[in-house]
Amino acid sequence: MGQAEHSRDRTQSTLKGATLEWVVASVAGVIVAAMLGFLLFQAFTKADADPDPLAVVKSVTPVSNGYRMEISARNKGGGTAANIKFRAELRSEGRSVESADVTFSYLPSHSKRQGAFIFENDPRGYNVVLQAESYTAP
Amino acid sequence: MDMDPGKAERTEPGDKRIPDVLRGLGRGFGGALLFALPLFMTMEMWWLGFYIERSRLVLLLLLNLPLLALLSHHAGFERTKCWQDDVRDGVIAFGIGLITCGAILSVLGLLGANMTADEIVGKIAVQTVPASIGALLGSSQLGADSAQVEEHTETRTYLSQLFLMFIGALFLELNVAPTEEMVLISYKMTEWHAVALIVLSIIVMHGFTYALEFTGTAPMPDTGSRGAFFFFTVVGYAIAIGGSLYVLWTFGRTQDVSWTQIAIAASVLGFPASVGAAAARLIL
Repeated sequence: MGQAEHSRDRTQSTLKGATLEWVVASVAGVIVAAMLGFLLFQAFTKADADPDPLAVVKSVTPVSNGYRMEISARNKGGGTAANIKFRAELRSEGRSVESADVTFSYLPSHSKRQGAFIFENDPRGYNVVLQAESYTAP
Repeated sequence: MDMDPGKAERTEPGDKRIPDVLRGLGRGFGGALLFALPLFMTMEMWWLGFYIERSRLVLLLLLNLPLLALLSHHAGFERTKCWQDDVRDGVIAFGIGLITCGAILSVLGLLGANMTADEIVGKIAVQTVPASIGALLGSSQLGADSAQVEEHTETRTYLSQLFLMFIGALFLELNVAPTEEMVLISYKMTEWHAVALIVLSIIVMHGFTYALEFTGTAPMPDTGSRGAFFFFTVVGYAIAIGGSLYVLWTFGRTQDVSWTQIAIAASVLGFPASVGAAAARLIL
């Protein structure tokens, strides 16, 4: 918009400016309202405030010094767990052959984190017991 | 990548005196230090250097150049004549940021010969963005006199104001987003805390711009305080939240995280960002 036009037709340029501002402000208003609405909805419908951790084995890969067993830890609860420890045990006929621990700094509510154990023995040949052991409040 | 913009500038035949250019470059380094020193000394920022996803890092660096050029256009104290000048100033600021990061991280013993090139480049690159913003703001005198500051301020448009708010927000976001405290706070908060924080951020932001800025100088149609609230505060807050989400995503904080946690983290990051956005309108 040129300076000349600006001074010649001030009403029109003001209108144009106002239209642009209204569009931008409307989009922004929707974004902020949506965010507030979403959080309020979650706050009202939230049923549980405690962590509910669970881990599943994703894959087993041979590595340099044994076997890497990747796990995906998931928190199905509404609270975040800190320093959460998972223990994996390889069992054969009810007897523990090998075990390992992994600790996640945080496992946020309704979120996932990836981790891995490294075993000497191939976990695919054993029963794997994967258990959340402990956590602290963040 | 590792160009020396100082040399390029010096050998270029121009209408400015060489001491002026040198002083401008010096100011650039000063600005980069002033803005990025806290980040150079943040360990999460060093770690980000090796774990940040490379595609996101590249995107951040690619976006940084147009960002710097636009910043040079809107906030550079020199009234740039054409977009080439803005791009040139942006590239110079980028280069100053890179050199500053490399030099300071080396001198602090954070770059070692036993590190892979990937790690070293990552560490420098992730710090370059805030450093280069600082360099541009610091070196606003690069190659020009500051006689036209006032004129530039008056012709500032609405979108330009929004852009400056974005820069202010982005700058504070980059400063706080890498720290672990940021996510820890979001884990300690409930949804109710987040709602309260959003309301507080908007009030603080409005207070900031109202108390210090709206004395009749704003170049917008006179829409009164309600207009100011919607056109600047709400829009500014949406910009702060948008920037927060981008920075969280870039730093890998949104990976496998629930939407509720992302929204809470965005509201946490949005608080300093909204203060930054409000302050940028006053300072820049």
